[in-house]
Amino acid sequence: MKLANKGLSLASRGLQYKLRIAFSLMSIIPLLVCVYLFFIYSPYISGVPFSNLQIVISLIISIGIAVIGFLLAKQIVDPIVTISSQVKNIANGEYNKTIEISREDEIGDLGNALNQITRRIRDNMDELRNYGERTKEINDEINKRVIVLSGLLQISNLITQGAALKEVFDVTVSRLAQLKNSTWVLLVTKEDPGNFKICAQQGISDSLQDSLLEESGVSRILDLMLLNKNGLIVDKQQTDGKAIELQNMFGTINLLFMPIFRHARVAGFLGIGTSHPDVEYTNDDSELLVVFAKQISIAIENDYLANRVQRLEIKDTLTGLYNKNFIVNRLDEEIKRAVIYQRPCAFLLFSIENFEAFLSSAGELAGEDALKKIAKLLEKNCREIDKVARYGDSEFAVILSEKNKKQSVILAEEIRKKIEDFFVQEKKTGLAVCGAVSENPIDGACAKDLVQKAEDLLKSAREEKNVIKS
Amino acid sequence: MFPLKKATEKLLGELLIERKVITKENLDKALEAQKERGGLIGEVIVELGMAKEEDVAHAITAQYGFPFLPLANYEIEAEVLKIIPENVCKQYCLMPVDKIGNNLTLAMSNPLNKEAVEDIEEITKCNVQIFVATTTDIRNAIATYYKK
Repeated sequence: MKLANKGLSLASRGLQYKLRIAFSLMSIIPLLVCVYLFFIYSPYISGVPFSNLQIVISLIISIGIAVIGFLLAKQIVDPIVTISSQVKNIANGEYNKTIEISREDEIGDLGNALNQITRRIRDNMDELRNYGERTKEINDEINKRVIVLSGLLQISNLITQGAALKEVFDVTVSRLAQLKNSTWVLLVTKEDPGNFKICAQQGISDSLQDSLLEESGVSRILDLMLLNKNGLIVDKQQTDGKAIELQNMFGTINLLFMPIFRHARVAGFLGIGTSHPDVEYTNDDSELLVVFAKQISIAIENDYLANRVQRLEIKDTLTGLYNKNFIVNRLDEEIKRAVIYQRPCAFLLFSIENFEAFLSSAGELAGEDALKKIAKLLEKNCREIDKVARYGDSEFAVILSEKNKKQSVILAEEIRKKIEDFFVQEKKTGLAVCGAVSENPIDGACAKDLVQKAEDLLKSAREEKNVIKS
Repeated sequence: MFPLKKATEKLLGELLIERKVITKENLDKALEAQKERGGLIGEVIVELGMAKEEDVAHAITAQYGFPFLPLANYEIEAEVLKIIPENVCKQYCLMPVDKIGNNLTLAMSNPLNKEAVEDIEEITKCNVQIFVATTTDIRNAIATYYKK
């Protein structure tokens, strides 16, 4: 309480003091005035008759004093009402408001204290908002990283699963499109003869694709980009010819290009661009694109090696027979030999009848077992110089050197019968094969002709069941 | 039916030595050359200039009883050509000459090629009557007639 220092002004007095005065003014003082007047002017005490004027004056004075008391009380209560309504506003979230009470009593103190609290709340709210914004930024950043990481994980999964290259490219492009909401994404790779190919894209118009490939646009991009191994970022701050050329080409201000290297040579590039004015690509994005480019490079290398292994493979892993690729190449060689020595050479195809139905009823293992058994039977019934191969899931092929059509049909029929006998009598599974025979020179002078003929014949043999067609 | 009346299992090379067309040394050389470049022994001997084509043809004729046909002197009808495709003729070195009823006259450089004769029977469903002709005559005939 600062009562001691205050002068006569009521404004500086304490609330309790003011209340006491207001109460006195409103009740005690008018009453005292009335009593005083009564005693002074009472005819029974002073002998002087009590004039009406005196009574009226006394009453007016009393009422006046009471009104002063009322005003004083009102002066006390009003700011409380004001504070109360302003506090309500603040409580409703209007933290920018201040309580304007220029008083030096408790209400003034209360107002000041509330103002302080409000200010502190406001400060805290501001701080909280800042934190919120910062958290949002961090969240965005985390989100971006998560997208990138899960994208990379997905891509590496695809690579390890040996998925088609196209699928890896498509996933990469769709993931990159999520990076900063890029307007377009482009993935270009170099094909073997040195041509470029748009492997996957998003948001690139057909006409731009054509012009990229036709007017050696891709080479131009590489020329512009490859001065920088860590990629090329183009934004509005750059005004050199190279940046403007790229911006015009793609129709966006912000672009980011990243070369894909394979064996230290350029194997293509990744490009993203955005027309969003607030988004600019940073070195962080560039680093992320490096990782994507490396993944693409791994995928391309993997695909190349897998293809090479497949090309080099000549045996079927399950049956140990030659594979389709080998047998077809071998057939060409056999035909060449046959032509030189004026000899025939035949190509047989066998297909297991209803193999899928057998698989679904007997199971995979029984299916594999049957395939192995048929492979054995085929090898057993052919000569050593003949080549036996697994031609498809349930198909087998045989090259019969030096055998003409008649001899081959007889042999094929023998084999068909033996397989049938084996599965009907010994295994009781009822598996059977049908077959087709094509021969050089009657059915053609190259492997392609013979294979085509045999496949056509096999189709009709499947329809007739248990036959050899020639 | 296959009309082969093979009197002996002798190989062509031995036959030619017997008939004094070539010497043993010639045959060894020819066999070596055959190993290197492939082809039929009769053709290799002719290519090396050790014997004439006619000598080889006559040796076969005499040994196996096939009649010789100087193919160059014959005119072959277009209808006959349709019976056997060109690539079959080329591969087996043979030429259809004439067809009367179900009998097909065939000129072959190697009438012992049983598989070839069976294939021709398979395609034509005819009885095949085999004549021996020189490889050159047959190749010329194929080039001439199948071009038309």
